[in-house]
Amino acid sequence: MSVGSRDDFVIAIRSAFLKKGTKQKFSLLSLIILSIIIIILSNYNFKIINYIKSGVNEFIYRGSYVISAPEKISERLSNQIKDHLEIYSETTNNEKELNELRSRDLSLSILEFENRKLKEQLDDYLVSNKLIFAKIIIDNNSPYLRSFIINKGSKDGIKMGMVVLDQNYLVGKVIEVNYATSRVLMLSDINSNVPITISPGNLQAIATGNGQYYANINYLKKSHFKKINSDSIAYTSGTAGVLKSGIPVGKIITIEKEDSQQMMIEFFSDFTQLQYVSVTSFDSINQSELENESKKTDSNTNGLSENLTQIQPNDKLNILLKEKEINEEIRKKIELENNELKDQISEIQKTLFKNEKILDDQKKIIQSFKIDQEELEFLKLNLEFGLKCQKKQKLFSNKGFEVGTPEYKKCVLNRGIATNE
Amino acid sequence: MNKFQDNTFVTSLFKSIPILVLFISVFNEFDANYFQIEYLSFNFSYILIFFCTLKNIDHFGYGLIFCAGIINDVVTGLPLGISSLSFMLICVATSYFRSITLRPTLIRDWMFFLITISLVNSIKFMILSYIFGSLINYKYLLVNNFTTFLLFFFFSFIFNFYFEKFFGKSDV
Repeated sequence: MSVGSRDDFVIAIRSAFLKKGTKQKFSLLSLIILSIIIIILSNYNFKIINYIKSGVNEFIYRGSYVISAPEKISERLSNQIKDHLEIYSETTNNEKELNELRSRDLSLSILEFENRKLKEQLDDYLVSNKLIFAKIIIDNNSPYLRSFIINKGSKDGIKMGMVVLDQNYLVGKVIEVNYATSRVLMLSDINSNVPITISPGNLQAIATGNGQYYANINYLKKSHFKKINSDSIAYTSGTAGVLKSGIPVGKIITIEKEDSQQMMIEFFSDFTQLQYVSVTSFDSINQSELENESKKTDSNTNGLSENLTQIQPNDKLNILLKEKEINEEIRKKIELENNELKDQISEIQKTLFKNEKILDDQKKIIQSFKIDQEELEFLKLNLEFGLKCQKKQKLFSNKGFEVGTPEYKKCVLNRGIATNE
Repeated sequence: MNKFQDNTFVTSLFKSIPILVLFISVFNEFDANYFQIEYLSFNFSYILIFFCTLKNIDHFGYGLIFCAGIINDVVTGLPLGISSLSFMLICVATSYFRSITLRPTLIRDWMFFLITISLVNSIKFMILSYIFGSLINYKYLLVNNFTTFLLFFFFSFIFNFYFEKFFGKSDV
């Protein structure tokens, strides 16, 4: 490279960095230095920087929420239309499922109660402190950080590490708390690790997000993978003590790779469709509280719970059959009542029809009475003002009206004053 | 010819549209970078900034681009300052390219755009990887880079059409 061309290059570079031109207010060099300073400062955990960062975040999140509003509305509309179309087919399926589920419900409540009692014995009973409902204001599907922003922050009692749920399903945990907003790290993020239990089989493992829509199953021996099938479900194991055990995470699916199969967890909650979430933290309650609570429930259920833990499976079956009989009786009674009510309704409708007819007749009578009264009024006035309104048989006089014409009637009703009409 | 030469407010408004588009694109959570479709992700901000700073468009100031970068970082959850630095580096590249080019052509701009975004992305992801310890998906990075490069040609036509239609020339 000759000296001249090297000089040209240096001049061009210098001009690029330093020359502002007429249209620019800042030189690029100063802005680049500012960017580097911001990168360095944001890396340190100073109080002032955190406050400024939190303020900036707050402002930008709000702005982003406002600007994203039209897109969100259109998305919501399309979703609503889609939902509406799906509802019909879902309803028929739901009706079938509902009938099945109703029959299972009773046995499930007994199992739930047993489960709770067992947990009490294991001292693994965690209660959620306070449930805070939040709306998702920003959901950016960045591949670097699977996270979203919620509209609740430190002022609402949100703290770092709190658990985020979509209905009963685990979604993630809070990793950044601002004054009125917080950032939630989703389970699908590669930095998310959750201790899980895979059921059936009671296999302990760690679910690690893969940055997409699934979670990998880590720290599980290869030999155990044989025990997992498509019916297996992953729950939180509660090992770390942060999460309550038994929160559903997802179901196990097998993904076909090029030359192998890989087992992954497909989350129950669809992270792309989240709008509202609940944020909570779990604390273990002490034994005395537990006992008190247990006593309360016991008194509420009239001692049914105690009896249920003591009774044998055959007895449970008998109870279930008896309950079924009672339900059948109730159903029959309701059917009878329904029939009676239907009869009553038809009777009422008949009376209503009759009354309507009477009312119509009466209305007609009233109408004719009104007409008669008008006629009487006319006759009275006719006697008094008839002469004034009648046409006179005088030469050159065109005043008055022919008797019987509407003009004559009008004139009489106006007490002899003829109108121009 | 400028269609709004009699109305300075409308002229100013139409000239401000590119910077408004930039701000909307960084503020909006709908990001072309993170489409759910494989092999379709591109950096619209890079295309817009490269084009507008190369043409030295009015109202497209470095200060505003810097602010857009900060907003982009907050919205996407990247470390603060990274996007600003990337945007500023693009501005340096365009400023240099403008000063060394006498007769600009679209093909030359296009090729220079490829070099610029490759360099800027490399710097950006080096910082993310070495300083902040982020994992880098090289396949995504290459696809994003290449798609951005390809789409620059398409967007150039749209931007040129816009400026020539309303202002009679592409650098206003």
